[in-house]
Amino acid sequence: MMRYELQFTLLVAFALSLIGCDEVANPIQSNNLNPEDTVTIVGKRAIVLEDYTGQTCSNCPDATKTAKNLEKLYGSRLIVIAPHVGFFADPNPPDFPANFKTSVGNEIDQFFGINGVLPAGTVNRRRVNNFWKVSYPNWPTEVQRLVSLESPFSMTDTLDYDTSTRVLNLTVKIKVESNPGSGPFNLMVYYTEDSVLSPQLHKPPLGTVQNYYHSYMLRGSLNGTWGEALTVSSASVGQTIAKTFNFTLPAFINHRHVHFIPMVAINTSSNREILQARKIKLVP
Amino acid sequence: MKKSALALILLIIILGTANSIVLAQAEPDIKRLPAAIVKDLKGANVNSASFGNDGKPYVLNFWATWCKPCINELINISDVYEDWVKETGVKIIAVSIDDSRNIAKVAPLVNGKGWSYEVYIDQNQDLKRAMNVNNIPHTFLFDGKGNMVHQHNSYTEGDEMKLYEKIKKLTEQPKE
Amino acid sequence: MPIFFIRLSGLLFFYFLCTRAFAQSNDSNLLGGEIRGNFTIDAQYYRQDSTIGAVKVDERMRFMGVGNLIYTRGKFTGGVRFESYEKALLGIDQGFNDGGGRSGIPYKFASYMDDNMEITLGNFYEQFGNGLTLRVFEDRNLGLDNSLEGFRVRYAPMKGIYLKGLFGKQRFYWSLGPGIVRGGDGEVAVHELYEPLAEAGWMITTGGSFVSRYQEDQDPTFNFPLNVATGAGRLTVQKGAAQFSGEYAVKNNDPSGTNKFIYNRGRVLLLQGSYSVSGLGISLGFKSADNMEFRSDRGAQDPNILFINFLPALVKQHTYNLAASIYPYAVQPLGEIGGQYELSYRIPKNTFLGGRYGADFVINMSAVNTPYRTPTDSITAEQKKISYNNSLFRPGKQTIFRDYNIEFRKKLSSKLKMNLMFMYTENDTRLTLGDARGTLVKANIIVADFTYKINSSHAIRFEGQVLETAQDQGSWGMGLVEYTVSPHWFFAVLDQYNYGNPNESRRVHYLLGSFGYTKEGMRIQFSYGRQRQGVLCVGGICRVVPATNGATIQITKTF
Repeated sequence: MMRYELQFTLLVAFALSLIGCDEVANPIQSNNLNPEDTVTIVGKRAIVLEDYTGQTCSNCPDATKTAKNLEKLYGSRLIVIAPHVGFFADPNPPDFPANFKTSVGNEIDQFFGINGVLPAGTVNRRRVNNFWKVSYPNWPTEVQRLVSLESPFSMTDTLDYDTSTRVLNLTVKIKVESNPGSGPFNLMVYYTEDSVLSPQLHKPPLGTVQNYYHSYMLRGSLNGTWGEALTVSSASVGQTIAKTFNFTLPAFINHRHVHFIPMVAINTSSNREILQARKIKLVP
Repeated sequence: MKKSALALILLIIILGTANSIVLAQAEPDIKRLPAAIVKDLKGANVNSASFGNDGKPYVLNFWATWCKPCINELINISDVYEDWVKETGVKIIAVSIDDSRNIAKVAPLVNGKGWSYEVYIDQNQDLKRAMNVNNIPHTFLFDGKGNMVHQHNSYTEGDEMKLYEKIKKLTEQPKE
Repeated sequence: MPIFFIRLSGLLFFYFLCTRAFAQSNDSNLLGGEIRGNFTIDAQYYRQDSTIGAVKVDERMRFMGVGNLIYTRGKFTGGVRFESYEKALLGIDQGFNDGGGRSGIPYKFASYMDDNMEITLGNFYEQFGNGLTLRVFEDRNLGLDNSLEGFRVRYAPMKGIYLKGLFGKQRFYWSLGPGIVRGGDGEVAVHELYEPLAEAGWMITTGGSFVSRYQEDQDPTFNFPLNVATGAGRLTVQKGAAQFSGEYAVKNNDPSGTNKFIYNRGRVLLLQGSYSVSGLGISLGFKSADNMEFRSDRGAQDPNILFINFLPALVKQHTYNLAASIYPYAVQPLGEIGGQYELSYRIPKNTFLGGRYGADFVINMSAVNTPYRTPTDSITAEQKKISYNNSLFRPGKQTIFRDYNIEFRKKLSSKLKMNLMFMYTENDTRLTLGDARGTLVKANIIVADFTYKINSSHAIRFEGQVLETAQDQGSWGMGLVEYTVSPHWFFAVLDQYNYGNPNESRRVHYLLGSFGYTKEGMRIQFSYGRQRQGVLCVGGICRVVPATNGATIQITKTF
């Protein structure tokens, strides 16, 4: 009897020792990804990383740094949008008087379950482990996971902009490359501003950094938070749909730092995954 | 909207109380103590199913070193515990739900206060969960056959006397 | 609005189901087994109040409900827990809302237990040793639930030997975390195996545990370890009035979001000793932790989510409002060295200080610093990502926390009891509260607490507290009057006043009235007024509760 118990115990201990652990000698990967090459890959989808942020969120600069590193790695395949949302984005004078919140930002903050708990992000608004929200240390993993995915859509654009009147005319052409499956699909066009100079709280010992340039700041949408419907079905393969937008850029935005980001996404109440996107610089 | 919200709160209170009355009428409750492994102050594993008091009633009390009302209750009972035991033979089993933060303080506290209760530690809260305890202190009274006959959540000054009345009732019953 | 009422009626329906249905089944004992359960319903009505920073809540009222049902028959036990967040109250992790509010059954289990073996399938809670390698637990007051979903065996092959093995994934709001957790624990009670030891009054227990996490790696920049393991050994020795216990755990490289992807090993040492005789108790503790945060997702960021292990806070757990919830201590698993000393003494009856009934005093001191670290050379730091070296026994210069307090408790007459406390504390809120604009706060706290017993059922309690500090929000005062009628009722009025706030417009009163009714296993509590932003801590884990103004109701029941 005793011997049997002992054998059992030893067996369990042996099984556990097999699981063990991995010691990593070379933590850093030597990457051969060349951003210039990946741009031209036809049929692949662009990846939209939404970096939810706020001026009094001291961990947020770390998250934005992660986004910037990923941009270096993936080039124009990766498009970053930074909505300022929740408590951490509220004006907090005297140090943080600015208000960068937008109605689009507030709505997606609620819908994707971020609820102003920052930093946080979504990657192509795709559910990971049942949740839209992805913590920033996991962004590289989730971006990498999507890089090889095909897209049923491809996108081109034409843009006219009058720098004196600040009136623009944008046409987005969406070509259905393969069967997109059951939709419905929407097109939304957001716009962002880079290099917005305004204070940002950092972790100690830095604290409040006055000369901080906010990148990727979400400023609004040309056609609402969820955009407008695209009439697409399996019969549309090969067709091209064009949508035109006329818009006057608000005066407080520096047009030299503006990008327009058209995105095609599934549009149901439980699935709003982005399938294709593009980043267009307003003033080249 | 404000009014309707407040009306809802009132509704919930009324329903809650009404339900408890329904429950009270459904007694006698004949639940027994579930089985879970706890540790005694000497570190030995003990199965709660073995708790008992040789046919006399016992009290199961959930407490923790950081819980002020719990300590007040155990101190106040301690003052009269000798008399209780003499008159009814009742035993008090005090189960601490302290985690590893405070576990080293349990024995010094029990000894320091001179408590003569039977003390166990339910570190993984297996017994607490099995008994469905929400908040501590929570006291359960079991009769000599091991049936749970009374419970009380929270402690206010004087509760120990109400508990003792219930214990006395249990020990008097056989004579009737 | 209709949705709101549908959700509410859903909650109420569950409430009735729990109480009424099972009230009736008590007699019949469904299927010959026993059914027990409990539930908690929390509701809060919010008013916007900009002077205290209480934000507007669109839903106006929020509801949360939790109910457990456990069925036992012989050696078999099964149970489920229903949870409803429509939506989670402010201060509870908003992830439970899953967007717009969510209800469901995140916890279900079945177990079989006989004399020496227990097998559990489904969700379970477990702790190995002090929890340094594994402690999955729940705390409903904190909205915390790290249960594992999987399989567990507890097995005692012979008296004195206790084994545990488990595997599974951890709860992550309404789904499971990405990491697979596997682990085992063995404990040997030497005195149970070798009886002469027990006869000589010795109690010696030794044990060890091993826990490993698997998580896939897709990261384009790092090579992450797929399997990360922790191992620990422990020993407890007890003889007579003295007890000593120690546990040491190590973890292999575990780059994570919270440790900034360093590949250092993790270590923690925990030593505790105590000595107690009637009237006197002494306890000592030492803990040193380095890079010991262990979660089942290396990217996890939310404060109380997916923790596999637990490091106990070796500081006093205060319960007086100002001492407990303004500047509490929070464990720093990434690095801290600290110790605690506590002496409790009972002054005998009929002495000068002891008076007619005797008196108690407790002295407690604790101190925690950051560890002393030396940076590694740039090649090791950048290529190996091992960023520092340190010793477990050398504290650094930075103070994280100090608490020196003395508590005096005395019965003044057969009706009047008194409790006094004085405390000096230092707290670096940049670390403990994660407040980037924080500082090292130094505060004195004085508490006086009197309970007068009017008769066998009625009692009245007065509590006065002052927290005096020149830093952060400045000084606070607090007064409380509580009237209780045993065994059913309590009524209380509480006022907190931030009289020392450097910003004069924030020198406001927080007045809160509450009452409660208790009947057997049921308790209803209602409060109305302002609640200060604070930190709620239970057992060393804390959450920030934002300021609110409005009504709160809680109903709990055990059946």
